[in-house]
Amino acid sequence: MKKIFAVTKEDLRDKTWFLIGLGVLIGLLGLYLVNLLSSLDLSGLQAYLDTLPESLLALLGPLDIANPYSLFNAYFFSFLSLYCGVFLVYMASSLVPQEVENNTIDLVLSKPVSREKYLTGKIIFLYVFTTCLIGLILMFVAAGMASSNMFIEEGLHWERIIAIFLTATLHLGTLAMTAVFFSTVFLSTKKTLAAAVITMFLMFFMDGSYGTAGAAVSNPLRYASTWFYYNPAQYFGTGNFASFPRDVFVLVCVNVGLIIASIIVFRERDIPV
Amino acid sequence: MKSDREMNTSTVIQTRNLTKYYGKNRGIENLNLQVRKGEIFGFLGPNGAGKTTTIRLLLDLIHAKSGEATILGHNVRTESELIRERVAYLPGELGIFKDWTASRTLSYLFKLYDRSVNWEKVEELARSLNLDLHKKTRELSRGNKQKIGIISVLAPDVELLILDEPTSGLDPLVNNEFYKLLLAKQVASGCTVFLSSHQLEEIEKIAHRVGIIRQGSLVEVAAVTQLKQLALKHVELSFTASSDAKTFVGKLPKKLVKNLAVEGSRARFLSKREELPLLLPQLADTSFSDFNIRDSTLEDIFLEYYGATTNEKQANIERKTKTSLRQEKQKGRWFK
Repeated sequence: MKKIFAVTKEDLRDKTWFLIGLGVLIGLLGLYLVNLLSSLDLSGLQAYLDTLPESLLALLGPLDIANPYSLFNAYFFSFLSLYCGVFLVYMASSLVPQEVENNTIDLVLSKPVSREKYLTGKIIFLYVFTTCLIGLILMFVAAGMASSNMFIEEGLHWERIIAIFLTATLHLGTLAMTAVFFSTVFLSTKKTLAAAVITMFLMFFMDGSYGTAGAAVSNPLRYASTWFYYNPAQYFGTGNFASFPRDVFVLVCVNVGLIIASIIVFRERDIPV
Repeated sequence: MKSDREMNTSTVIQTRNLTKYYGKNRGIENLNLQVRKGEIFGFLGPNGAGKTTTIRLLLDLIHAKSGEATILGHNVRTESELIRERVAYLPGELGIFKDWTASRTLSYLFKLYDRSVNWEKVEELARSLNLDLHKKTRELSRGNKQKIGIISVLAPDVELLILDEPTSGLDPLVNNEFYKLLLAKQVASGCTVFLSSHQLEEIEKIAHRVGIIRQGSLVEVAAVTQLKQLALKHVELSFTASSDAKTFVGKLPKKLVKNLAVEGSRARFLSKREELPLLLPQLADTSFSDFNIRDSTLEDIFLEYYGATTNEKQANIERKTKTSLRQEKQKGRWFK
């Protein structure tokens, strides 16, 4: 374990300021949006929404503008995986290939650390980074909720924040692990990034009903998309946790599957000069 | 005959028919190599001969197509982590974490060993090599970056050092310091050194045995002294007059000499050690001002094995003669 954590620790040390910067930036955006809700002209917003086509409204999920949870979710959580996903995929895509491209991997893997331990160290770093990032963002959101009259009147449902924390972390984990898997296949930052970003958007569009999960399902392909199992509109917007155990189970399985596949591929790969 | 157990304790690196292809391109082919405990083994060959491929196979950075290799009795494929606990490696093209200090880089690398590495030793080595451990590596010259790699192999207590072109980018002073430190470590710890290089003069100074790799296969393994004994002697003569040179050359049995060349009053040629007594009587009637017989350098031997073209050999001989002339002149020994 000492060796695994040595790898994790150095990556964390390198990315600490990036983590804090990104977390604070997105967190402040969340805090601003929480405060913006109380100053919104809700009747005007409803009139505006009434003019939008139904298909566009479906993108926002089951929206009840009188409910601050539902409204905040439509503005913020529905897109959280995209905000953070892009940064995470970029980081995960370069984590191992950059060491190959800079030749530092020879120096590290010639020391008594197995490839499995080395990659596990990198993977742990990605989960720690994601957990801290989502945690930091949600701290700002929670602070905003605790100081917002709208949320206080509706009741402070911290379990919804916890559900978002868990599922967002797992969902972002699947995006990062997809990038890690491709990085073990290609060992090249550019190829990995291209493959991971394409996969991410392919999954996003495969889901099709993004934000409306729970509604009637017509496209069977959506079950294959990890985005289908990330349902902030339900957990946070309406407080409906019916799909929560299924979503957590599927996301955990996808994460574990991708980790095992990455380790198997990486163990067999030649490290190029 | 030695038992397997005895072989295991006395053999540090053993490869049997080790083969590696990169697609259709040959890396190494049926490489059979044996490096003994406590020796400094020089691994010679030009770029593309398969030196780095061999080393990377031994460290399990790449995987062989066929054949097998063991280090310290452990299989390089299945027991690689165990091996690397007892081995230190310096890659040819050293990659360094650019935003880190030398101190952080070394501290990270040493944390990957099960046993702890004495930091005082690191600081001592840094002082000897004149390296500032607290500077960021992006601010260091290529030579100074290489020093980080050198410390990373000399500081841990290991049984085998695998060095791939260790002195590339180092200035001559640091180069000498490195070999001094390496020899001191080898003598003190009795560790084995597997040194790949194309700097033949360095290998010649330091190695006990040399392996020459050609097109992915080992063509010769022998002690440096043994190789040099087998090699031809370089004879250089300076006559008082050019006519003497011509007379001498006319009398030489052509079958006994190679690469005969006459330049004014000077002549040079190659000859087998045991045939020299047959040639020397020809000097009896000539007037010469200097007479010089030297051993072949490792480079001469290396070129011999590498089947260099005659032109290359000639160019090499001429370059060496010019160098030796310059050195002799500087010492005031050539023309008295």
